Amino acid sequence: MEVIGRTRRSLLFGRDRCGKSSLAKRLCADLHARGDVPLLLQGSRLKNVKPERVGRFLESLVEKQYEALKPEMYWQIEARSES
Amino acid sequence: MADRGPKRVLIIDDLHHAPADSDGRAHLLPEFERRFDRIVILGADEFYYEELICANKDDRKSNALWAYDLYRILPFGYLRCEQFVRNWVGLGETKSDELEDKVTQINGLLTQFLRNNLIPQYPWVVMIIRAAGRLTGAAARRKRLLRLPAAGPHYCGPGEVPAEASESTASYAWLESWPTSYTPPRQPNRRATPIVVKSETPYSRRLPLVDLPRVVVGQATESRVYSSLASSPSQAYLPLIGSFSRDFARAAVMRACSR
Repeated sequence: MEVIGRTRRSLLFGRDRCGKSSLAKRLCADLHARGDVPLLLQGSRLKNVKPERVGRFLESLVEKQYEALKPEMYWQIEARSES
Repeated sequence: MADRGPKRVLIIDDLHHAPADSDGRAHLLPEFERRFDRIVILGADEFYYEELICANKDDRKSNALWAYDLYRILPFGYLRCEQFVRNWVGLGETKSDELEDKVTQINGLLTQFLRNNLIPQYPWVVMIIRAAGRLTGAAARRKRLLRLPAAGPHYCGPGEVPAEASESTASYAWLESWPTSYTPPRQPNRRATPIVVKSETPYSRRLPLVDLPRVVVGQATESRVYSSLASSPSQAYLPLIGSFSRDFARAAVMRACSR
């Protein structure tokens, strides 16, 4: 968690059933507890996503994963943190 | 400052199930990177070898994944394995002496399988063995193990091994209970016909299952049969098995529990 928290882009590999999905969920929970706003995305759902539809696709994910956070608020988080 | 506020983090699980062509990903990843402060991607080993290691030099430059920091999830070592068991057993346990007894018991059971590296030390394997360790009595353990879900992928298993022809050694006696026949389960979108791989090893006659070189490799993405360049019976055994199935772990646990 500490190592991944320091890097901006991380790529983790492992064998089948070594706990990758569990780690992803754990990461999600830990990041959330730390005050970040993680979004968990299954790779299989990317099959039908066109680059021009990425925004709408991510908004639908935010709506599913955050009850009290609207997509437009989600995208404003960066602006708030940088101000 | 940017570091103090909340970060938008995208976690992509199972990237190997995403669009198979790197071009498709090359268009998607910049879109993600533009929108998120941090990105964490998880993928299978095969994906790593195919995309990042086996790619041409020119492809590597264009592959956006090369800009990522790479990490690999390793199996447990002994210390981590014990810590994992301790944490798990410790959930809900209040008396420290009981906790120590259980940890010692389970670690003893685990050591039987893990010391020879016959089973990868990943959490689910440890959990299966640990589940057996909780029960008292061989019959109860066997019953529990038989009830374990068998929905996981089956990587490989032995084919048509005559049990009466097996030789047992002290070290590998627990392998005697290996099933005499094994049919890989039919799985959708996978090849229906098993591949029979014949392999020869100078140590095959010293193994508990004499005809083990006849290994049926199931329909799996990571089935591997290594070349047999073994210098000891234990090493000779490993190449014949390749990746292990949940059935393998179950059979091994059942045998150990009945002793």
